[in-house]
Amino acid sequence: MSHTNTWIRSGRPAGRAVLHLLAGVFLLGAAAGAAAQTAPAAAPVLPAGYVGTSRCRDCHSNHSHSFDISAHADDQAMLAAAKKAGQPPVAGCETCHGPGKAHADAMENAAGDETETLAALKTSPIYAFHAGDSAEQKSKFCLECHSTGTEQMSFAHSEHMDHNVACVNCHAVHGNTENALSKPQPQLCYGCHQQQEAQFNLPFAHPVKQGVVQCADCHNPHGTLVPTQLRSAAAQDQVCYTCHQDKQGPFIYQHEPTATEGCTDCHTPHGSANPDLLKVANVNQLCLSCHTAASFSAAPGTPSFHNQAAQFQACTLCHPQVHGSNLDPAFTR
Amino acid sequence: MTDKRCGQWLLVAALVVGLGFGAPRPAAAQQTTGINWQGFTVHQGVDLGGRWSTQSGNANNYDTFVNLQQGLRLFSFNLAMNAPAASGRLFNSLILTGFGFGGDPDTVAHLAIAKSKVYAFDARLRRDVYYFGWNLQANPLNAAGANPATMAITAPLHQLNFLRTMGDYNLTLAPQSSFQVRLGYSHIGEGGPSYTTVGAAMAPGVGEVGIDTVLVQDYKTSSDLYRAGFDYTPFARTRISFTEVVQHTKGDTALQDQNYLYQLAGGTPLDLGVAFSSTSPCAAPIVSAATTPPTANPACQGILTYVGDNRPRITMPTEQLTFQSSYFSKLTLDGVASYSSGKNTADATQANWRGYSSRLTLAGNNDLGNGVAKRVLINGDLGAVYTITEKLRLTSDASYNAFRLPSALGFITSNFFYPKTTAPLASTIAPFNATTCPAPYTAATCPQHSSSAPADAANGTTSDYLGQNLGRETIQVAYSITPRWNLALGYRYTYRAIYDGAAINYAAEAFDPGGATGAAAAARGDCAVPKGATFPTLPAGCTLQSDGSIVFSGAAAGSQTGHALATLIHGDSALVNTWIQPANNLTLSLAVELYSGDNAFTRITPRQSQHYIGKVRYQPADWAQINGTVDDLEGNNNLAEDQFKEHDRSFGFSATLAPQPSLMFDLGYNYEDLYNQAVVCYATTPAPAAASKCPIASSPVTIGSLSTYSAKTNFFNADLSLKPVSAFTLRLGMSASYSNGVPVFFNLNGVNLGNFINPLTPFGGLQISYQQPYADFTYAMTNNVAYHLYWGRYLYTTHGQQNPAGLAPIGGQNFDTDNLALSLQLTM
Repeated sequence: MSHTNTWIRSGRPAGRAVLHLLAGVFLLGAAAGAAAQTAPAAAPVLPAGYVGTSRCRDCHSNHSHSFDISAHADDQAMLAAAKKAGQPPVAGCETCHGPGKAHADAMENAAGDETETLAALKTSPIYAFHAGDSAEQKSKFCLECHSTGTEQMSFAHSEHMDHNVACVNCHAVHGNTENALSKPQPQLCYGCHQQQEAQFNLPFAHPVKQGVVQCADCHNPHGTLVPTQLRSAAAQDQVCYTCHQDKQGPFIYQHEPTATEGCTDCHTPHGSANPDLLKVANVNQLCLSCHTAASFSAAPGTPSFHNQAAQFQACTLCHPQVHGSNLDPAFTR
Repeated sequence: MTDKRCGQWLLVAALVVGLGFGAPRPAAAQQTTGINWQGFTVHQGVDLGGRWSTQSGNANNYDTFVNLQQGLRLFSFNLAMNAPAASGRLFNSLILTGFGFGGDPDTVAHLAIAKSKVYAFDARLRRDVYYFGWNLQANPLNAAGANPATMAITAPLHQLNFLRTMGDYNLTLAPQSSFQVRLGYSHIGEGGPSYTTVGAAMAPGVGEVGIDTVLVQDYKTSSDLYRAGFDYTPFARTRISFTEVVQHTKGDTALQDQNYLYQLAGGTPLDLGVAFSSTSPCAAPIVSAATTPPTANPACQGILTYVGDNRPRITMPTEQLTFQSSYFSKLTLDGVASYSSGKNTADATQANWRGYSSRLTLAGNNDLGNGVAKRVLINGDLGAVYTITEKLRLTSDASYNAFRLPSALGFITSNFFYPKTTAPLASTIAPFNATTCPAPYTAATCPQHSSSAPADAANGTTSDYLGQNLGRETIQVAYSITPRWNLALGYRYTYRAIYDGAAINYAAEAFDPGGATGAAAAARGDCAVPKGATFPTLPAGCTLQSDGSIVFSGAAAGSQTGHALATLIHGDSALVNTWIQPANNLTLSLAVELYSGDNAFTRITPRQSQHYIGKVRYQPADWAQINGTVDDLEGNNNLAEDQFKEHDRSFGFSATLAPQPSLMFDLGYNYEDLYNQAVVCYATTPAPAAASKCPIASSPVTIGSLSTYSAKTNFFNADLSLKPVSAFTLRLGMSASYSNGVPVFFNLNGVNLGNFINPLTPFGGLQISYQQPYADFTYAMTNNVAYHLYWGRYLYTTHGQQNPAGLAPIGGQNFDTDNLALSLQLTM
């Protein structure tokens, strides 16, 4: 056997698909651009107490550029979302910050006077997502619209909510980054989850550091109905099978713990110093931990001819199909 | 690298560097505000260049962990088009990003395109070269004194060189309307050349017989997943969704023996396997080392041919209904209900080999199976949050999950035996024949059956069943003691019932006579003479035929007539979740779960566990963020015959300091202490001097010890980003992991039996340091053009014994590689 890494070069690269994507994007852009100069729609009539985004900009111009190209600047979408959420038909700053007329009028009347400005902020405040507010308070405005999405539907009882992590802890809602994240994954998650960063930097690890897999591929940061905010695979199975579908089965002979206990009985999911992300370095130590004929365990003990001191040191030498087999109940083939 | 390639690289580098440093100084850094094009704000960038790599040490391990090779690369690209105020006609926003093109192991492209109320489309393409070349996995660890003495297994026997391609496409129509439609498709393809191992001389219910070899595995599996569904909002803050998913997975994996490193006299290629000792494959396997390849002893164990085939076809439709409602101001509900069924049709799965196995006197085996496995899964989850008062809320998470996995296999098995006339491997197979093997069946021309030889032929069915009902209910009451302190107390009840069963039913299992014991040789296996009786007394179901063979029909010993409740588990958990915010810039949180169960399905699933997670987020200044975590998971099974314990204790912190826009410093540290132990029983010869007796009376093996595994890992990372002048950006950093793992076996009185069951086992990855320093330099020539130079080093070092005394040396695991990347970055 030789180290023949060049074998793989004959595989179909994603590059071809990307070229198709690029060509499609070019055509789309050309078509879209020619029609982009559509006349602006007539300004909607605002409910009482609201002033509209343009008046907010008179003072808060620092948010203008990034906000204008963010998803939240899409007035049509915002109005539709507000309607679905049963909120007043307002698009723009006041959708999240609340009605701003009293605030704007008071600030305008203060005319730059510092004392009056402070008084105006106190008497006519808007909701501004202060650092001292709880995650529940800060997330309430976001959830008015976003809780009706499948992603965020469990946030109200998520582990993040339980520990005072609000939407704005991860999202920069005025920005136009992907999913409005304040940092890309996994750096965003590593801020609080140092243990996982350490594990992903071990020699054997899922390619999170490389960007192929993201934290949110396996976990739903907005919460799920199972512990550790794990997602499920399409067939409502363990999330691992989303990529490792060849381990999913059903097999004619299933190694029972893979279905009942889950992958984490033997593997550490993020990273390990041990090959195959195993919990221990020596495969036999792992196998024997179950395959010792305990009185309560269904796992059979190893037979007497499995001499651990000579051959059969590695259980997987003879039993490589440890997840399940379609031919052999002993998982040899 | 050849001189020619080196020269090409130098030329490219000189051109790029020359262009860059000869250009006018930039007026500003390369941050751009984008351009306006056809009404869109457009940002785009591309990073083009190449990577040069030096490698020393274990190339297989470098490719397993890193696998960055040299060559020209499109390191990354990005394009973002946004129409202000959603004024685009075909789309309002478009994001296209990608990285890793040109030969990197990980390539990703992502396209997200949307137009407000009309559609949203998302496509993600991923390509991952998965290489695994860790040669200690499944290594038989041949001793230096084995015969032939040079049979150190240095190549990875479970080598994988897979290409995994993943494509995910999702289209949502009318995403903002009260009725939206979702369509999606995903494809995963995985495969490539690889190696696997097999204990070749297998037969159902027989077990290993000692010829372990490596097989070439042409591995191919793919999965297509189709999704269609809708979301309906019947009234405000309420949504009902339905999704139909159909997953189709197919595997097409073929196995073949190509490990023919020897020959028989006459030139027949021969595989002597990979495990060599003083007795395996035999005492004197080589009769002539002078030939090419060496000529083997025909009386030895060996494999002449091996082929296998496994082509399952699995279809899994799933229906899923989800809903969410916060229609009532004080009550939020969300839930999922799904039904999934699946069927695996594994037709013509087969494994066939010829050769010789001395323990079973077996000359070969054909196994053919046609199987069906089904999977039915029902899942239902319901979450509710009831806000009783402004300060008090009640949450409930109920979950039910039940699956059933019945399967059946129709099998035909043939086992072959040699006559006694010549050396086995030089002979031809001798099917039982009354002419060449007349009564009393002791002739040398008869097939030679040992008492443990499997049946000569069998056909029948196996049926297996696995099922589980899992129910879980979590109730939690949360109270805001102050606006800055929230405390939640909860209780979780878990119920699991696991059903298991297996049976083998033989239509006919034929045992032919022949061998030293003649006619009595047929009385073996399921037809072995009952204890205390003499031949021809046979067990029920066995019939002595007129030609001397014995045929058994019926259920094999130990078969279950139905599935039975294997394990019933009730578990209770106490939960505490709290956070406190003493100041605006400081938040502390704590999560505690204390679990106690009355049973467990496996020996390494804890019956009691305690999990504590504490976190702190502190922002001492606008430019500083410090986070810390303490995480402690403890588990145990307080059973004398098990003594399972485990813990995973870690603490870590991270700090991001950016006192000036031109200076940023990231620092992180984590310590993790992993430990687990369990009583294990095993056979070992010779047994360690102080070995204790297995404490489990029913154990088929007699040696028992307490096995422990302990690994302590320190990880730190540091990243310094400097921008001394606007044109230059410099990043210096390093991440490093230091892991110190030790498995120890103690006898049950606490005497240390040594590090391993097998003293020839190298430390491998148990004690390692893995350091990755890097430097990253960017020179922005203009607002739109920058040169980028990156250097990274990958230094993997193992500590402790790597080639223990007595082991045929298998080489080192270390590698030390430098990567240098030079690129041109264009942005606007």
